[in-house]
Amino acid sequence: MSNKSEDRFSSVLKLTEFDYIVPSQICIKPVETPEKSNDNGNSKIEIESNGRYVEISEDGTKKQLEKATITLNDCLACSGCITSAESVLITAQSIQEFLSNINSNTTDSDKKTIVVTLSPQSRASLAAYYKISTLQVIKKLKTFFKSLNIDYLFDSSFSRDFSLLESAAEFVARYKKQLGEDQPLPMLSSACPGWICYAEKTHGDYILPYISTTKSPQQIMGTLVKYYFSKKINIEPSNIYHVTIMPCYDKKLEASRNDFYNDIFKTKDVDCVLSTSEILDLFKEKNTDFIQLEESTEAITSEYFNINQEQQEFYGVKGSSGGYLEFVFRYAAKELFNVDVNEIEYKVGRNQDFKEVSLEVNGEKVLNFALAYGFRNIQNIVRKIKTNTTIKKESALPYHFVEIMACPSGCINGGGQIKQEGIKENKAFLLETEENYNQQIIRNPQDNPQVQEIYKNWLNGCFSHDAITKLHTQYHRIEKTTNALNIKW
Amino acid sequence: MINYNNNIIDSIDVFDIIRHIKDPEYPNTLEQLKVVNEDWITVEDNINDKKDCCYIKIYFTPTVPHCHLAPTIALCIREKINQYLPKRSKIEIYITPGSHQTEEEINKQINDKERIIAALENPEIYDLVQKCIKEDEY
Amino acid sequence: MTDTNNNSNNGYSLKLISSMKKEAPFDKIWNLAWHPSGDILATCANDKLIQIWTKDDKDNWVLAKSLEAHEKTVRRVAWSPCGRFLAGASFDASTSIWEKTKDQLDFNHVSSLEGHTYEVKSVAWDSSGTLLATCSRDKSIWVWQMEEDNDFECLSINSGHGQDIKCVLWHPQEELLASSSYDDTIKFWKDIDGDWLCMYTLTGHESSIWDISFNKDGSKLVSCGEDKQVFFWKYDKENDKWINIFKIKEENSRPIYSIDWSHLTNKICSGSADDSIVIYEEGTGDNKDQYKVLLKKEGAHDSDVNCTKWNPKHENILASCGDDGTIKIWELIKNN
Repeated sequence: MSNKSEDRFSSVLKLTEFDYIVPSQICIKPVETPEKSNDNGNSKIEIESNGRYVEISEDGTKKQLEKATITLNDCLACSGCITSAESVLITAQSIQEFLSNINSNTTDSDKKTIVVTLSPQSRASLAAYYKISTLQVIKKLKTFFKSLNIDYLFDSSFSRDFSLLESAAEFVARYKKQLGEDQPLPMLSSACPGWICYAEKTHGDYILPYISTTKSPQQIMGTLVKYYFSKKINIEPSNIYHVTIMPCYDKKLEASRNDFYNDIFKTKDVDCVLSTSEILDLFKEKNTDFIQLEESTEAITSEYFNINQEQQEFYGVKGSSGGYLEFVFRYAAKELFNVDVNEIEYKVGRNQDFKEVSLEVNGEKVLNFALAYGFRNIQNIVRKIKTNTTIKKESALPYHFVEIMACPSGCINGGGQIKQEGIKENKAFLLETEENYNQQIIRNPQDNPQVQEIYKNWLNGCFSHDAITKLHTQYHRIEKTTNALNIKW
Repeated sequence: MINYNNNIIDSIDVFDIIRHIKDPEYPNTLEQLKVVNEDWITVEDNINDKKDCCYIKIYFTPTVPHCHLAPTIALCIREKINQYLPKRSKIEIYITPGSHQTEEEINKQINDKERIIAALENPEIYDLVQKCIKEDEY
Repeated sequence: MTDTNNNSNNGYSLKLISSMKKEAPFDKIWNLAWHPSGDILATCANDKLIQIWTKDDKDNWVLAKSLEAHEKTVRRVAWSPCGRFLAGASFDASTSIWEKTKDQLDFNHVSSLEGHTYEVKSVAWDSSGTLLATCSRDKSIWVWQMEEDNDFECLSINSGHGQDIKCVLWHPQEELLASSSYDDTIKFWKDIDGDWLCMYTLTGHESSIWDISFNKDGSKLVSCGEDKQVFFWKYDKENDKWINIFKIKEENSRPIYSIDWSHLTNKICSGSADDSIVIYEEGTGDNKDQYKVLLKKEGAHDSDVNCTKWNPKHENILASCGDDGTIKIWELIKNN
């Protein structure tokens, strides 16, 4: 497998349904000319055989020019294309960057504590790839990470419990109109960074108020690790190097957002994001035969990891994109109408990636939820909100909540997951991955004792002022590029 | 003032129109930067052609081989001729062979009628082009 | 007015029947579309308007309506097969949908399709009139379905072309979509279990492909492009692929912007940046896959000819428009 992430991305596009959010034109950033020295127009720029740019001034002196590079922040701030990190050359969040941080982390004085957070979708993908159980994946990974001097392995299902609880509470507050007109219905889910990026770059004013302010599981784990866990182990937030392994490249963009950078401590909540498939590259780089690794017998801490006491099974929620719809639906039904929802019956829409669920009380539809995955279904949601608010001036949509994910089939099929050659093979692999994901005990996030404890001790309760400060975020409209020099026509 | 002898347009006329176009980035003109040159312009204009239309082919040389504004320079050249030539014309503009890394790509873009019109409908690009082709008052 | 220039064109000539001029001189008229009745013409131009032309009591073609909804050039127009709806694709990144009132020439702006990130270049209705395709410089093709309340739902977003997409067109009978692009290819798209997949990719053109047109039964396709070439393609059922059967090179000295295959007479017309209109004819018998130029009308317009379209009801009548701001209606005549 190639090391270049752009190559991999295009193979993703080739092999699967063409429905991801993809860059709409060639990134304009790389062609911005490198630094110009003397603007008299008499110097020449040549490309040397090694590919380096050299400026030769009139008197013949040569000066090596800087190569223009792009940071993730450039990508986030630019309206040139919708997303994605993949079309630009990313150096900030790669396995090379990860390894150089790990390798340089030797001297005792400024040695950092290294935390890796693994997503449940990633472990399912690895399990399908190696044809072993998800539990075996975790145990082997523990062995592997130990060899890299990584101190902790956490599970983003743990932080997802917070994300689900906050989302549900936020929804109920919106439904009861407690949050004012700035936070209307339908509430649109916020865990997918591709979707957030798209909304900010193309639909700012219309759509942003509808998006839930709750942080994604990755970013909540970032907050927990840097500001709660750090206190527990008594170190500065900046002395933790926090790496996440995610099913999605766009999570790299999410981690790079300024909203998730602390000016005082000069640290990001998540320092580096690796995709599931990059883990395979990492094994290769370290000459590791993953399947041959021993399974670690070390106990896994159930704080920061949704695992049962016997260390045999994972806890999780239904829904391979995080289960936002199901959890918010059940929670709201109980909280608002005192209805216990048993089995959720989906009405499948025009395609498998669009589903609806509703709750009737006394013959009236009181809750109408939808799940919209993939670019086309996102379009229809956005379109309906726009027409209904601008033309018909009515309530925005017949829905109260929409779980939105940029990838068809959702996160389990994220752009960063391991892919197989061929459409059929990839579909079969996706099914296996989903089966692996479902090797878990379904548990209501409210029943997670460690989460409840953190709520009690650190956050002052769910959706409290403290919780809103720490576990919620905001979105920003990106202005269209207006500098004619940068517009690619 | 250009004297159009017998109403026939030649390469000197065309060069006179485009030589003072300013580079979008530098304060210099395309002539000063050696981007355009009379020798790289060919004009086919037949007085007997009742259609009152001439055919112009121009090669230009971007200042650097990775110049990302080459397409915009071509836009300026085309727009200025359209505005200042007292005769209809069909214009082809190309990069001087070997003077740009993405020569072919740019040649295609700067002669694509649809892309040209669409670009000029973008107010930012339009303003930039107008700024570059504006004749200084003497 | 009779044609004096082209008497030698295989005994055929193009007779100018009517010429309509837009008010502003040298407005670029990009595209035109005949209403299925053959009695109404829709045009669109860089003045951001969609205009409706029809015949008055004295049989003269006149401007009947100007439809205003776009902020930039309207690039293409398309009537639904039933003639009730008109769609306009614009460089402002949106597509407007108009409903014609039953008996009169009045139009209501019923919908605006947004979502493309850059200029929409082309719009096409399928033969059932329920599906609409749009394409853009953003390299994507969107398939929309018309709902009962005249609203549209996006069924699919296809991104397989590597560049700007110039034209989309539905097969005359099947639910098969063809697209042509700045990437020099033509692609076919089909709904496979809810996802629109690329079925075939046709290569051969050496530059952007500006326009494509199917013959009546959809077994053949003709394309034209920036490379001054006209390609004829045929569906090879046995091997399930489209093959190039014939090409005509450099009949036009400049890019060819438009091509249209008559479903009444099987003749083909093209419009070019050399200001000409060319008519092509299919061979007969053993030469069914061969094509020849029947006539070339030089100076058909005073500038680029952007569009040429056969009348769908009246044989040998065609309309053309161009950068000279005029719309012309012609009759193809066989001289005795």
